Amino acid sequence: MTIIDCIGDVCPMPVIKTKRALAEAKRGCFEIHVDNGISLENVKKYIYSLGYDTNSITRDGYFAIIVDVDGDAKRIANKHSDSIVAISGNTMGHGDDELGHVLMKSFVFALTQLDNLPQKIVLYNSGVLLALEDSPVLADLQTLSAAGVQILSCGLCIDYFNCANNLAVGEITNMYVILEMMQDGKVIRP
Amino acid sequence: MLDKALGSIPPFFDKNLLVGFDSNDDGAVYKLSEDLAIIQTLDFFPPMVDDPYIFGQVAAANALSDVAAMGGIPKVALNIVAFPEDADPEILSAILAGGANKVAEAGAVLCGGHSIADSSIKYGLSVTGVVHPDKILQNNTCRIGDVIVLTKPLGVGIITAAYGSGEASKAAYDEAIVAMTTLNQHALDVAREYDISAATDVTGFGFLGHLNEMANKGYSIEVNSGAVPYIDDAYGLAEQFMTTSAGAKNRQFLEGKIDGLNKISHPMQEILLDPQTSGGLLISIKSTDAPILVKELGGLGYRAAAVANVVKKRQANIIIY
Repeated sequence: MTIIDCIGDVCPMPVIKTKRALAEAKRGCFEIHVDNGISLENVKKYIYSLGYDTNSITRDGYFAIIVDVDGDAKRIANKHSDSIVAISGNTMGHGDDELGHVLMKSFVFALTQLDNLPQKIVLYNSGVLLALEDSPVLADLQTLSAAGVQILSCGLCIDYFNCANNLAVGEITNMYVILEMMQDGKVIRP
Repeated sequence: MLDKALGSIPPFFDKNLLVGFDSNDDGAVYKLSEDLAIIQTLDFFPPMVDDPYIFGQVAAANALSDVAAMGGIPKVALNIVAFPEDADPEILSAILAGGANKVAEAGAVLCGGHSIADSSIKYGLSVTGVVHPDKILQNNTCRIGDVIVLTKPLGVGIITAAYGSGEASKAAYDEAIVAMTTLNQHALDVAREYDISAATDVTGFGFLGHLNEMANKGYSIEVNSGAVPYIDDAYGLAEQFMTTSAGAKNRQFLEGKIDGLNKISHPMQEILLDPQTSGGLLISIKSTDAPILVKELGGLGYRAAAVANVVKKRQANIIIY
């Protein structure tokens, strides 16, 4: 058991100390001690983003966050590849729109069946329509979202279609973030 | 907390006090004559950067900004210093030199100050500026139909907090320094040539906190989050939850006043809530003038952008898209 003492530290220090200690040790059981609720939340969320579950207990005057980082720990992140799915329209392929709708539906369903889920799905142009309340693929996108796949819709496009109030899954993002993600990851296009 | 403490101070009445602390404005404004009012501000804080000269510049740019945000011209500045007795006096010289540099750049005069011995360093200035009583820029007098322009990128708080521990890149830190040491006065001088209705600067309450102060009973503000400029590394740091406790307090404070925050990505939420030191101006401007102002500020090196629209009153003060 390694103790990471963050008593007296304010954010972002506890997250930084946790990141350092975990990166150095690679495995083992850690107890991170923090003395405020904000640090408690941020450290827990950070560890969760790495794919580990935490337990936290309140001790005399501080919180202890316990995490077991070893080969057997359930790594949520492992289920994800680093690929990004970029969907630029609400149909798949060019030619017949009716067929395009059917293909898109089956494409999104197929995504849910992958062993290695994509990290993110980026929707732009009429692709954002897939994330709305009346989308034919909403249920599948929600399944993916629940499994930890980030669903991101282009804000400009949402504005263009004037549908911000109907967004039913995922978040809104901007061109810069979309570009950065497409640069970093392997991009899959339907 | 501050609001509570201020509640115990008896209110002062003076018909010439045009803006006092009963409003959430950036400085106090006192009318001397029909065509002249003074703006009085004071701000000081502990270092957020290692280099003492840069810290001095940041503290001065920050203190001078409150005058710019009220639409004024800074004239006179006084130093406020807390410095440990056993610390190297050269550090203090560098801080004061940095401060003097920015006061001079703003066209004001530095003419003294006061220092005390203290266990930790703090520095800032009290600045007096002038403004025509009819030209005072308050923060909550936007017009429906206006566009709000932000003149500096966000993320400064996240970057400076992480850089000390080696988590932010040098490039991002340098960009934060440029943002913090850039005078808002120059941006205001440009903006004054256009049809503007209100302004404030972004500091400790973050972009959304100060935007919330711009809202009033008569209108709401719609934010186009995709258009908000920020320093690149801030996004990745926020993604790893390397955000500040002050940012979390801003979130708590704004609970219930903002719609749509949860619809944007978590890192972007953090950027919009990130407390800024010497942040940019938020300028409410006639919509047709906004793109021209943004372009002109861009030509001066400002990373400015039209980020929000003033709209008819909705339930929430601020609606984020």
